[in-house]
Amino acid sequence: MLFVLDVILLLIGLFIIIRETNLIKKVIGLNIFQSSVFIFYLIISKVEDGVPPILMETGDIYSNPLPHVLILTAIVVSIATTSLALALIVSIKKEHKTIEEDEFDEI
Amino acid sequence: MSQLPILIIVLPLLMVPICLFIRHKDYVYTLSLGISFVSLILVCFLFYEVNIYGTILYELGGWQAPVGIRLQADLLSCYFLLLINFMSFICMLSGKEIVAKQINSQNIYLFYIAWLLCNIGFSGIILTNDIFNLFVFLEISSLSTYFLISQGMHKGSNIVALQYLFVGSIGAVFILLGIGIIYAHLGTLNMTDISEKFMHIEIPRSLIFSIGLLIIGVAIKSAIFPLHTWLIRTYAYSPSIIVAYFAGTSTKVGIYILIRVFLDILNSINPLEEYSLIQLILFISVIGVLLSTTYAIKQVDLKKMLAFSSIAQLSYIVIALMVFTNESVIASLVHVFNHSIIKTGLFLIIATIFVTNQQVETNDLAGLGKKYPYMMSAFVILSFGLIGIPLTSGFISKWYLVTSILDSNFWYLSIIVLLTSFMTLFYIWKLIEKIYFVQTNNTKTGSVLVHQGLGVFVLAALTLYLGIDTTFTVGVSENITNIIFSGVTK
Repeated sequence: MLFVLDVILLLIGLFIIIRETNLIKKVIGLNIFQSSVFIFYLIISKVEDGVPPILMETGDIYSNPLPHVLILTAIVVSIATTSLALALIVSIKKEHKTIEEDEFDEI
Repeated sequence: MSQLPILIIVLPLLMVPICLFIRHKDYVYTLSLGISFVSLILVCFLFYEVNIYGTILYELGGWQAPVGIRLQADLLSCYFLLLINFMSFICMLSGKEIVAKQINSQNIYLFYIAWLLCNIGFSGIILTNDIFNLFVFLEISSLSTYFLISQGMHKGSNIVALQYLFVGSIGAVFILLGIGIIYAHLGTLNMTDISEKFMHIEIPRSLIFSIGLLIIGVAIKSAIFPLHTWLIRTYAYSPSIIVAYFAGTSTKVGIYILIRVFLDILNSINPLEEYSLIQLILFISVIGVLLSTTYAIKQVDLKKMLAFSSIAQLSYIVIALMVFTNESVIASLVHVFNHSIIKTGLFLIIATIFVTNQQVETNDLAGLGKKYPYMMSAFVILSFGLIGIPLTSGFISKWYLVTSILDSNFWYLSIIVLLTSFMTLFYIWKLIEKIYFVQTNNTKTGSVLVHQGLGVFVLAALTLYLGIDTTFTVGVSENITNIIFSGVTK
């Protein structure tokens, strides 16, 4: 069930990237798209009845911590991508006076 | 334990913050050029060591393989490392004046830093043995690529960079998802470990799906037909020196990942055959070769013409990989090397001569044969290599390509290869005719300094040399495929 919801989220993100002409909305779509994969990693790391992987006295079944760590790296990458995209949009706005994709001069 | 693999990544990485503090464009250039040269020397040493002692493994932080991250330098990675670092050095060597004229002078030091980072990313992709680490290095190189593209003189280069950012990020997320599925199934991220586990299990459908995601992601990043559209615009609108660098490196790194995934992780392409994916990819590639060669003939913009030609050559490489015999893999490896040298050389000539212009049309070449006799003879040699005329390296790789395809089950594909090679003649001849037989007064071109020509002449000389003495390219490729196929279950 969680996987299905996750795939729906992924498709929503992809749809926004493809469909929208506003560049900011496209960046938002990209973020949703990336987040869906982060959530996928969280879903696969969950162990049934597991507790968070923190050193505690209770519970000896805990979720797999490795995907969490991987996703931290991927989140950093995603932040870098987003900030670079926004910086590019700022300079596009300066040069072309618009951030609507269909209003650009033919290149 | 040899320290070379980690030094190749860490030394340039250390140089990046130092360059950020210096900020002076000339010093930064000297440092970047120096560190590129040092990396090239280190790669040569690594190649030498791997040749003698075999594969070199480096455990990061002393953590053993499946738990820790491991760098692995075998013959295949050394072959690609040498190519990438050589191209970076040659382009940087001949690029100083071009960068100074084309890039906003405040951004020049950032430009070289991004270049270094891009090269570090490529080296990391090639050296790492950890599949998630591969993703991280891929993103390092991609992010710096987006910045480098956006620095073009044309006012569309920002837009092109942003579009490539969207497309590239989609590819990266596909790769990330594929890695996640592999991890969910096998519980490991180490490539050697994954390939061992693949050997002992019946490969389920979801793993095939993850491999498919990896292939699509890599195909987007390396502009394999039909996911190539970003490449045409990128080549047309990014700084011309960067186009020369990318033509020889970024697409080839994608090919490297494909070879790793198919031959090292998957051990064979049988799982793909089950769903007749091989036939599908071959079919798409054949259409790719035909269409892109036709488009190349029709192009007026010189850079776009060469970009379409690159896509056709990439499709050859993919066809050779998918035919998957011992000889055809050799052919694809040789073609990667030769095509990289030829294309970088051609783009370098364009970048050097048309230093003040972003857009170069084929008509602008008119009458240049008299103005730059040496440069243009190098251009002719390189473009002959692109067609595959004997005595150039292009002939060698086309020869291996056609003979290996003839020997395989897909012999009819060789007709396509021969036909499109013949079609290549059309657009190359159009250029040569303009260079030597049309007289006009051309004002778009600048003067060429001696050391700028040096890189071009080295590449042209290599094209001739590799066309006569093939012991390096073919010999190394044979060794690589022998090692690979000894472990492959056919």
